[in-house]
Amino acid sequence: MDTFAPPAPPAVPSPAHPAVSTPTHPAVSGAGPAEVAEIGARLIETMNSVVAGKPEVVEVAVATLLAGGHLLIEDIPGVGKTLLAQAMARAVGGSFHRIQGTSDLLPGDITGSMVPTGQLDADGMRFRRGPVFANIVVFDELNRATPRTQSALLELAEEATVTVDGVGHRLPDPFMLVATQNPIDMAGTYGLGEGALDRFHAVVSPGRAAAAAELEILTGRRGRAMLDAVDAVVDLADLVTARQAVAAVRVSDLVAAYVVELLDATRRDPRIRVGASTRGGVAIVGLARAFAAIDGRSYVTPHDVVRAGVPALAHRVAGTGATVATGRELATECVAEVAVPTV
Amino acid sequence: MTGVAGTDRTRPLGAAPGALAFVAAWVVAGMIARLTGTPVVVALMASLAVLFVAEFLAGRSAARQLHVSTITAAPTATAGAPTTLDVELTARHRRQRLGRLRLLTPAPTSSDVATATLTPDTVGGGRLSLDAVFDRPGIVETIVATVEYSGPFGLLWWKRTATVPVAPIHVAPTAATLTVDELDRHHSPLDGDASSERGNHLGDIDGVRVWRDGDPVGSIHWPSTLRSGELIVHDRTATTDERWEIDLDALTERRDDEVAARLRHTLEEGLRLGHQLHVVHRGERHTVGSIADAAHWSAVIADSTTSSNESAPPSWWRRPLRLVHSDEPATEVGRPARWATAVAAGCGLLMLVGALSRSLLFVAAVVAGVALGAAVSSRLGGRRPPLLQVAIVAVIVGAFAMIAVDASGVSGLLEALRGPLPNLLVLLVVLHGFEVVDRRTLRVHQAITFVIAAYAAGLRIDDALGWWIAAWGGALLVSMALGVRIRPAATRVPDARAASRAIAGLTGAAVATLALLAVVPIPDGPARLGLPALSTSSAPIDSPGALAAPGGSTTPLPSSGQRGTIGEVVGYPGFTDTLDTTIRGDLGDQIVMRVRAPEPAFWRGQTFSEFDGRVWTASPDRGTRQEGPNIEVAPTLGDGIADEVPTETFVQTYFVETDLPNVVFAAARPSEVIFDGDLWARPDGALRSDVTLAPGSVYTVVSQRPQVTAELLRDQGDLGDVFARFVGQPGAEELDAFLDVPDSTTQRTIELAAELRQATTYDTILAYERWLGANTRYDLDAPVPADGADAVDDFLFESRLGYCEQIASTLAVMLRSQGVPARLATGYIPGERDRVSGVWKVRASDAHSWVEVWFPQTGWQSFDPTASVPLAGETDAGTIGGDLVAATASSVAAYRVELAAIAAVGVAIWLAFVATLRWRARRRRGRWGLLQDRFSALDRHGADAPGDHQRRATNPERASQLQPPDVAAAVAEVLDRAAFDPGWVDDDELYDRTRTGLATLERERR
Repeated sequence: MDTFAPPAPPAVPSPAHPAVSTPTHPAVSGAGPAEVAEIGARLIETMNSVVAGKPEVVEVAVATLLAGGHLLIEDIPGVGKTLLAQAMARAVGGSFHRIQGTSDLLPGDITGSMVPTGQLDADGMRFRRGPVFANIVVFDELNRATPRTQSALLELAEEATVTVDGVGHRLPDPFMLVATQNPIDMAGTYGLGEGALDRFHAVVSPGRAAAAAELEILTGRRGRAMLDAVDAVVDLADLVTARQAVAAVRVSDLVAAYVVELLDATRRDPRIRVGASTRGGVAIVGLARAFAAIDGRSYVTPHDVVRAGVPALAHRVAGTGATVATGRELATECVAEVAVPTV
Repeated sequence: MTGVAGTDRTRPLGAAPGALAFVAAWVVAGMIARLTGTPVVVALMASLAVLFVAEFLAGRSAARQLHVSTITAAPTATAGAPTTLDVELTARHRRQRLGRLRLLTPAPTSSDVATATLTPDTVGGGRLSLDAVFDRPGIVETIVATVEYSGPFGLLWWKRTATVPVAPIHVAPTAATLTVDELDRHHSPLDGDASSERGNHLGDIDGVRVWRDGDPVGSIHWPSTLRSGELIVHDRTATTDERWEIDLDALTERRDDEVAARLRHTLEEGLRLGHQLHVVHRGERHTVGSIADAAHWSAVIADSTTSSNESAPPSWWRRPLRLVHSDEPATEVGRPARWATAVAAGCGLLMLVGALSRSLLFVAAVVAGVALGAAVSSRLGGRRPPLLQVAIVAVIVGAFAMIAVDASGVSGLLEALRGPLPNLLVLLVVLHGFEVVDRRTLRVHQAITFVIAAYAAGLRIDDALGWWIAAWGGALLVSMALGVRIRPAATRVPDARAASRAIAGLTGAAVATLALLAVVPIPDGPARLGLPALSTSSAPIDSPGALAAPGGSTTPLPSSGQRGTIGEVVGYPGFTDTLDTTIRGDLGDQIVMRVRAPEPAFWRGQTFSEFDGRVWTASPDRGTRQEGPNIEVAPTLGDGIADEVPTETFVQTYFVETDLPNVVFAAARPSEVIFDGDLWARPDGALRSDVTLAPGSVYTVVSQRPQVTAELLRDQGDLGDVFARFVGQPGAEELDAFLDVPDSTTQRTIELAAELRQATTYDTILAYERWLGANTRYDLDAPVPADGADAVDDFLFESRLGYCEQIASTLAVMLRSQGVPARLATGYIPGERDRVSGVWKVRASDAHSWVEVWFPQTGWQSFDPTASVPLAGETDAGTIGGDLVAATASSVAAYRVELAAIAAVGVAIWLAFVATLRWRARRRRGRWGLLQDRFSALDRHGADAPGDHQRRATNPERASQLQPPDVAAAVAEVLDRAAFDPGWVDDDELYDRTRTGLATLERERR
């Protein structure tokens, strides 16, 4: 039985299969799961070389990137939240801006605003782009910004468009928002509401590094010291293609039903005030698609859903005032509760 | 953590409700066996005993195969309030029946903490979450876990008790409303640092925070509350801190039951007020910072105050004896079980009714009643619509009236046993069928069925008994097995080994039953108490004491010189006053009577002593008339035996099946006859009745048989010499009748007899028999000797052909010629034994004549050169087991083709059933689905697989647990593709490879 290995999945999927959910975007020619797997492997490898000892966190971050979502990193200070975001930005190779959240930060500070041109054409104003116009935007300490700024940011992240003075400005494509926040030291912060949290595809908490990884950081073999050495391993065009390929990964009805049951489990749990939203379900499927594609598959299995479930649900079930760690526990229990579908 | 060694005990818990009915049924069956001497009833009792033993052992093993490995709980709990206990179970087998898990606090204050019903799911799943309530406050460090299980039929319960250590659970008392007196209050005018933790409302407002228990209503900050949707209060800075300190050691001294409750109240009150709290326990100072701490310390106090007034547990013999385990889980009965029980009851009742020759209407009513009872009880449960109640009452009243009318004309025990009593029994069983709504009543019904079967087996003497018993037993087993099945069937977990275990168990039980029966002897016969007698004859006999033909006429049968028929089925010439050796009756093959007796014997009808060379003549002396039904029969001439010869009581019950003459058959030597009528005890040892024997007549004979052995006979020497001393002596005239040799006896006959004479008479007889065997031939169509010729001479030297009369007459004459007293006896040979009902089937063609020789020490002894009946002292009654094996073997031999056909049809149906199940599973699950099921099952029986988690594992997660990893991963991937890849194309080759891979994994797993 040593030689037994499953054959590669057929290149051209059978169109007659009944359990196909029609992909929203057709796959771009030349980019299939194999290419995505390669891109994903490169990204993960590069980021792992900087972020020590957090392979799962890195995987979720890369999956979120490929799924076209936004990522929330929540943890205590000094565990490499910002480093993770920066490493990803470097590896992708697009433009990268970083915004530090403070309570006096105004929406205009991040979106950009109309400034006088100094010329008397038209109305004499022009739009000066804010820091949000970048492929990867890292927003540090999101909960220190005022709710007004938070909602402006999240809305533009959702729409991928900045509207100033009635004129819309498209954000660059690809665009990804990586926000960090600190669960302790909450004085003078504005906790994100459930609606705000819902806009993040996934949440990760890197946690403290293991002793071996810490040693590597202290000696400079990994960590921030390595950040400068990172070169872009993916160009933007490839990333866009990969995102389209991920969106084309197929989800059978069985798996979709499984996701629906997961959502239902969060809604039935008496400890969860409001269960996960439908957007949460979309996020799970998106992440699962990305996981599948990273594994080189053109279809989603329940295993992908299980991997996507906790990062996609943890912040959605936590509720106001609770930390993501609590949400993570609840989400893990919900995932364990639902029977896994099989043939 | 596992149970502490040495505290693990498995003990019987008691019988299930209704199971003791089987014990009662067993006792009743024992009485029936004793009364009737029916071997099959003993066999039934042995089977039931084996079943109980098997149940006993299996229940023990079931209880022993389930371990409670760990129990975890929250560290604090409140007495009387529910808390959650997580119990982890490990089981070696999944049982398809219910058990019970009880958790108790350890002795001496043991009280129930939680109970749970164990289903196949929970036992296989491994993890249970129980709502538990601790009655008494204190610290719980061990929990006694009791697993209760029954055997496969749910009759006998065992419990396995193990003490499981747990991380200490502090069970606090409910808080009282009083504070403790031992409270040291310290005030410190500090700008309290504790205040932002616990709001003391004295100081300045310093922000807002979420509401906590105990915050005053006045401090609610309404704007924030409305904005956030939850209660927000002003957070204040205390201007002063208050510190409370409680000395727990002083509290312990108080030995007050309520002190722990008051402590809890005090601590919680302090927490509410935002004070700093400290307790001093064993000299150490501890801070109390939360409600949980308060509970913890009050539990510690409760433990130290309650443990002081322990009482010793009652010694085992003072505890109440519980024979019945009354709280069996889930007592409802499924419909299949109910109907299987109805089938068993129906079989039993039909078996009983068949023995009583009731009308077809009666049979139909019984069947309808049983079916209706099953339908009503399984459909309606305990409910009784008024109309149905009225109908049932009407039936009861009517049936009782009929039975009462029936019973009024009954006289005699046997008539009652066959008439009103079984009617009443049938009615009660049918009515009880309406009451079978739960397991207890189901078991009682099954036990009643057992009694009915035993009753019927005691009454029935026909050939079909074995088949009826088999049908009834099968239905009863099925009903008992189904009776413990859990409803609904959906909770059943497929277990491939269950069927093979069941078959192994049944085979083992059957072997054990046979082994037990192999040492159980065949019962001696009916007990004195129940010796039955019944006469159905209405034909009076014109001349009392005379011999009457079956019709009742005393006219002697025609005696002609011609061989040939005398036209009657039972027209054996031996049952007349004169036996002409030249006449042979035309004997049919019909069964004339059945004799229930443990051993074979000659059923003797008449004896003849006077012989004229061709015709034997019975003594004209009719003897004395004896009044029935209990008749003592006095010994006749030649019946005396020496004191040192051992005798045995040999009981026979005769069931007459055709019209017979008034000859009362009995095995030699009858000492007591129970006969429904009067008898004539003749001096020649024969018995005649006042009426002819009609079909249906029953009588019983108790014989005293000397335990004759060849040794004993040989020791008596040559009887010719013995009796020579008496011949011609005064008072010995009667002896002459047995020594008279006919005038026509030829010299060569006497010479032959003298020539073959041996040293002892016994050897002489054997020598004669040998000679006859070597020189003559048995022939039913032997020629008639010439007129006037001596029949013996003709047989010995001329034709050398003859049948029993010629052979027996010859032997008698040869012995008489040597001075040995001999006579001719007629009757029946034992016949064929029906091994199930334990009766001898006697056919008309079994009519026979033989020679009786007077041995002075042991009385008349039968000898027969043609039919072989062993000497009384050398027979062995044998065992029921041997008989059953022989009966089965002969039945199988007799019904070879039919049984093979039934077996083939059964196997075909079974195969079709299995194939249909497979086909349906395959259609439902698809071939990949079946592979997935096998893959999922790989970790289900694993030693370290906590079931619940594994059941929800994904295929790659499962694969990571399996060996070899590459094969497991490949199988998992293929299965996932088959399920979830929309572009999946089924591929036979891949299927085969996956199946092989799965087989590899399964092999590795084992």
